[in-house]
Amino acid sequence: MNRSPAHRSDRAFAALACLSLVLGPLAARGQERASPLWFQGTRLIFSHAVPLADDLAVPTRDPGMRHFLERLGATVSYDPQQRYVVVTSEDRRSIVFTLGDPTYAIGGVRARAPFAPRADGDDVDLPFFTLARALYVEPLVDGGETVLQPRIGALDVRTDGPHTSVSVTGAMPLVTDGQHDSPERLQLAFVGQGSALGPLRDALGPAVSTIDVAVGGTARVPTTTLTIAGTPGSTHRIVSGPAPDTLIIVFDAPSSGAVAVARTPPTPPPLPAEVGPIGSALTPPPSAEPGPTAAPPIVAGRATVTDLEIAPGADDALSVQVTLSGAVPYTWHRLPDHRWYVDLAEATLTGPGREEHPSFGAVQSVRVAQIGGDDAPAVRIAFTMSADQQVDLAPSASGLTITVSTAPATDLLRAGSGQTGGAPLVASSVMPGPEPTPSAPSGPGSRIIVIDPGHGGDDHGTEHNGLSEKAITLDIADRLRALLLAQGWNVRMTRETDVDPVTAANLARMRADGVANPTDRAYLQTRCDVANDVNARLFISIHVNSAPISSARGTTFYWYKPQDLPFAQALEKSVIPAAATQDDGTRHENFYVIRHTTMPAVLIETAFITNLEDVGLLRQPAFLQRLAQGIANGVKAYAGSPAANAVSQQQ
Amino acid sequence: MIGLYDSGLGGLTVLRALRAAGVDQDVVYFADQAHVPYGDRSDAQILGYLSDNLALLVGLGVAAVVTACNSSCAIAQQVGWPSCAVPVLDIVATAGASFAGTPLRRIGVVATAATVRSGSYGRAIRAAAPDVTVVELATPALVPLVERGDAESEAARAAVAAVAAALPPDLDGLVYGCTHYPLLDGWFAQALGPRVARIDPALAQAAAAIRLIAERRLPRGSGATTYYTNGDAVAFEEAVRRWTGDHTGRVIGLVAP
Repeated sequence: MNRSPAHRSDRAFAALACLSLVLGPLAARGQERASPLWFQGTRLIFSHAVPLADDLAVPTRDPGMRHFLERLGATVSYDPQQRYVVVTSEDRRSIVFTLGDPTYAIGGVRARAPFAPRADGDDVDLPFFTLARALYVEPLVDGGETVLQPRIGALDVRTDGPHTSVSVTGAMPLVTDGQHDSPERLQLAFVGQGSALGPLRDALGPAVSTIDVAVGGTARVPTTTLTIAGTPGSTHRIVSGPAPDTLIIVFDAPSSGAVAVARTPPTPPPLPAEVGPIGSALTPPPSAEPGPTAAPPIVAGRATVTDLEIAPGADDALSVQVTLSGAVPYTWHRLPDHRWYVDLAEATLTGPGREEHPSFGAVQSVRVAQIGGDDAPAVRIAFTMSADQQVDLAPSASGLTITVSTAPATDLLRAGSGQTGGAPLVASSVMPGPEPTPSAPSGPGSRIIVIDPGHGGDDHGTEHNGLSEKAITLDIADRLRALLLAQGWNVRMTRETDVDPVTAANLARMRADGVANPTDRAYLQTRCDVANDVNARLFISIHVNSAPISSARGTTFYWYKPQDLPFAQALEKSVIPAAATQDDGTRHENFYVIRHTTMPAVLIETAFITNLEDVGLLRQPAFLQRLAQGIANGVKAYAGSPAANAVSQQQ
Repeated sequence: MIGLYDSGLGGLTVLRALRAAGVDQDVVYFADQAHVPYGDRSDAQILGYLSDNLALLVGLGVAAVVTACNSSCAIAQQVGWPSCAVPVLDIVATAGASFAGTPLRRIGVVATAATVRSGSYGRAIRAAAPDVTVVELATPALVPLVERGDAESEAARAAVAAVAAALPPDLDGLVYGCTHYPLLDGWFAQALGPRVARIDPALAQAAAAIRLIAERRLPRGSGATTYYTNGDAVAFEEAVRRWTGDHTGRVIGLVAP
């Protein structure tokens, strides 16, 4: 149902008419079948709207649509190259429509519209009523007409111990008309916004007793009166919300009457606006909240924050050195409540965010966090201070230096911006916990450890006393893998299930080479290849021993290459105390997998399946766990932590 | 293979829901019992744990992560999700979405202090149902009770009764904003009476997981679950057997007994 170009001139004409929002019967084509729409006392006229499936299809650039969104403080972005239309509300929720898909997402939550948005030339038709409801505007039928009534759509009451915060969110900036404020009772009247919210009685925590919502005024100009009664002795304060259309009132219970709702942690943090700025226009849009079935954003910015050092400066100042892999723009903000933050645009953190409470300097806390989504990643460094203190920013060769002094701020500026310095990654500074890089050949700097659970598939290994070697080796390997992953290593296994891995290439090559036992060698070479191909840091082969005499018992650590020996000794030193087996020592042996791997490699014969004492141990999962833990400890003693090994990869 | 994580036992309720819904993928369950309860910790700490948990599960080879920990999702929604190589199902967002089209107008949420502090539940529910009142109550005493294995004790009954008394009397529904709480469902049912709908986000999460599996065409598995904990593996194994009825899944401790 493409529209003809003739409609375009209609649209242009109506656009002119609409700019002044003429009242009267100036219905544009296409809206003839829709009932007249009223919004805030004026008629909302679309130059092109088509009733469709209980909704109204309206292009995003329709003047009526634009006026509607503008009044609500909402913005729309649509790029004809993309499938997505993103409407950002005043309270910074993003409503994301996808062309051809009736499901849309509000702040990451998926819902269903009556029809799928469809392209219309270089614009796109959206389901107007659906969008309006998402923006807290309810279409109400009033006689033969429809009134779009902005509403106070949300009331959130959050109680954490003695604090209760009440947040009210409306369709538009909340305008109060008359405020009656007494210590225990707060009455706020909002003009122009109705509500379908009901009152709340009793037991809203120890600080609030009731919340009453009364709707008055007329259908066209409604008012909503919110009355909140605190408990006797409670106090409250109104704090600004994240946007002008949200109001947050925090009630605190009287300290004496700490009526424990439930046992609360000793110092519950204040409820509202715990993270992030208040009303900052430069906050990256929260469009990256993942949908229920969407992957979280894989954040990749232009530069990486590789290190962040918090140190005491001169005169009790606090100095933060931010090391960046490249120069990025930054913006800083000072908030009214002694908080200050800087956002490094297009930057990513290599590790998780963190929070520090330095024991020195005039700062209560420093937070570092990744914010924004994959379209606008940024790193935020935020300080909570005890007063409005002077904060100085200076680009440095490696990034940015932030100095917070104890002196009061000399300027009253609330925001600013600039450009950081920053150089390519330096080898000595990598924050812990970067993402494992799956394929990064790098030898001593590799973060990959290969575990080889001996035998598998048709090759059962040794079997005695109801135990099978191939199952035990895989069990220990699974446990070890988890432990090494927890240490931050990237782990590969030569097998993950009950199979004996082999590649056709190795089979063919070994036969062609005419070696003895070509099939056996092909199987073993395949295991070595797993480690050699990625140039792993370490190779650990796990086995269970057997002997013709039942008295043989204990754990042996086999090495072949000279470089294997220190690793074998480190393992011996940690496994024996952990597993409490007999120490059969380290032995030089020409086993295929330790001979043909190119990195430090050790084959561990963990215990004897032919010794009753050892068998008793091998039957216990706790023993297998202790073995795994012992090996993991040995890895740590020998190779340290993977973060230190990661350096060469970053270059 | 699908990864599930929680701060402790609570996520077993999500696992139970996944299995009940017919998910036959192999599952890796990780209980971060070294740090339970998350709810009393700072945002930065929780985000750090979340990031570590995702890395561990991805390292174990999962194709998708189904979160079973509300606190971490609530915080991540507010401050940003850490990057992850596989899709992650956010239980708070899923729970919020399940309110689309329901007649419930006054919705209570019981959750950890961290979840309540974030306000993410209110936002998630409102996204699907704009005109609702959401009352969130931090109930930090309940998680330790469940973790101690006292979910069926008199102490648990009393704690739940105290929580119910602290909620407004005219609620239409109550969301278990922490996966530990469905293990106290019997007590909640008793304390709230039949008029209040009790909502376990695990059900919506299971439905979302099934959609994800279909969308991504994840291969079927044997339906086996492997459990990892960095807490007391013996006690955890008992809880697994008791709450999931899974008598064969391997329980692996990440610390030496």
